[in-house]
Amino acid sequence: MVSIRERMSCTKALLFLTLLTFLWGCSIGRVYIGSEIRQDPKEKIKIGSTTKSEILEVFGPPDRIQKQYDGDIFVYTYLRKNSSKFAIEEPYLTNLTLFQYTRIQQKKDGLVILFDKDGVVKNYGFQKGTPELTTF
Amino acid sequence: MKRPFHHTPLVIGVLSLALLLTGCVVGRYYEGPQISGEKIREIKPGVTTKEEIIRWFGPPQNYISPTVFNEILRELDVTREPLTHYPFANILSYQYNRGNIRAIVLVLFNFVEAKVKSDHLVIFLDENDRVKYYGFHKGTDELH
Repeated sequence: MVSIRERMSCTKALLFLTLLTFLWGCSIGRVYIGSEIRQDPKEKIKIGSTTKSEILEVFGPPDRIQKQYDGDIFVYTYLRKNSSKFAIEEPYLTNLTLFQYTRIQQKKDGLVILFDKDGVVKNYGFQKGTPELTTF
Repeated sequence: MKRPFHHTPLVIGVLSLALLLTGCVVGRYYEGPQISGEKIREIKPGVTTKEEIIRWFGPPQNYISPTVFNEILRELDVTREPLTHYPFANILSYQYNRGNIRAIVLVLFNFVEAKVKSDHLVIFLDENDRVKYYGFHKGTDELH
């Protein structure tokens, strides 16, 4: 014979399983696009002397080349995106979301190099944003 | 008095359910023709011509001209002829993209990771349509 205590335990277990299976969950996403900028631009680029050929050798082909009347612009980009989501929902019967927390961080490392008409570096800008990404 | 391990069936049940409802997702994405590493070693600045480059690597995916004329042609879709045939096309660009996607789908937790890497070749031509300089990066080697 099944005792009241055992019945209660069974009900609790069923309730627990229902809650566990249908109601909440979290997701973590990671996206990486492109290659990291391989060298430190401060060490490798000398304004007024580094040539386009040397830049191609050190940093590889740029992701974007922009033509201007007074010289080219090379753009290098490495993009990372971290996302995390926590949701409490009932996805089967009512499709109701009771609570949702989403955090998306998108950061990039960007290097822009400006050349003069002779293909020598006129100026450059570098920003490393990816270290600012947090885990969650 | 409580029996020892009286929760064991429940734990086993939850674990079994969790295992039954889990899954893995693996995806692969490939775009563009592969760039031959052997041919890249044969590129000699000042010697290799534009015709040789196009013969070795095929029509470029992108190219950039020194004038805005080609942008206008492309934007307005004036010509369907390969624009690399025009004399102002002096930068040829080849790109091969690969993407790896993997995901673990559990009952309460999902993890998705996507990586997109490229092999990229850019060739600058001089006024005689010979290679002036070039750059190559094999990003797909960074994929595991």
